[in-house]
Amino acid sequence: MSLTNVAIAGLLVGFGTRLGSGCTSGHGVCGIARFSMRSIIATITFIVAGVATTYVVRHLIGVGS
Amino acid sequence: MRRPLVAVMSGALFGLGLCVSQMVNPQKVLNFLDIFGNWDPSLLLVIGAATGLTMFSFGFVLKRKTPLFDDEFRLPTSKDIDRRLLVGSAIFGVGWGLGGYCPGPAIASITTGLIEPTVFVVFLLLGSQIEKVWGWFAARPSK
Repeated sequence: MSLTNVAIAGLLVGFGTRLGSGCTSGHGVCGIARFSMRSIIATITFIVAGVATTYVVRHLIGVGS
Repeated sequence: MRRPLVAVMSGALFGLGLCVSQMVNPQKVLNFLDIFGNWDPSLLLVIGAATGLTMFSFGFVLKRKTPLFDDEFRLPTSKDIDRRLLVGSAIFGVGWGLGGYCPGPAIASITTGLIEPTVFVVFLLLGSQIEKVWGWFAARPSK
């Protein structure tokens, strides 16, 4: 994977986790474990976005497959 | 001295778990997200076990008045399903699907000595600061 790709991914993850107040650990593990509706919605959102992005990158653009 | 020691031990345990479960391997994460390709569902067990065990232990922990090593629990209070939550999570998901790293595993992966996790974490911090500055401007009333 190119470093440019890694850098863009880092920027998006840094921006998104702060704006959305959590990541896989914060919303996915701790939030869901507290039955937080915000965290359940956030986790569904980032998994769907992650699956969609992986699909586009690997199967439509055809990088890194 | 007890609090920093417990923090170091908790962090080390978390990092160990991320390594053993291969959450630190971006290709493994991307294979998990690639449900329309050669899907590797094994990380479901990791996420399921982590969330299940946390749910079980929170049942005891959160019944206490205070944590063992602090004066109070600092738990999120917001209940709003707002645009920030949805847009932020979606942007995070796009970055996650692009690189295969989320914040915790990326930080733990710095110890592999590979260049990618270090570059990722530098830009992670930069992205976080951009959101902070952008938030200041967005919060300022327009004239």
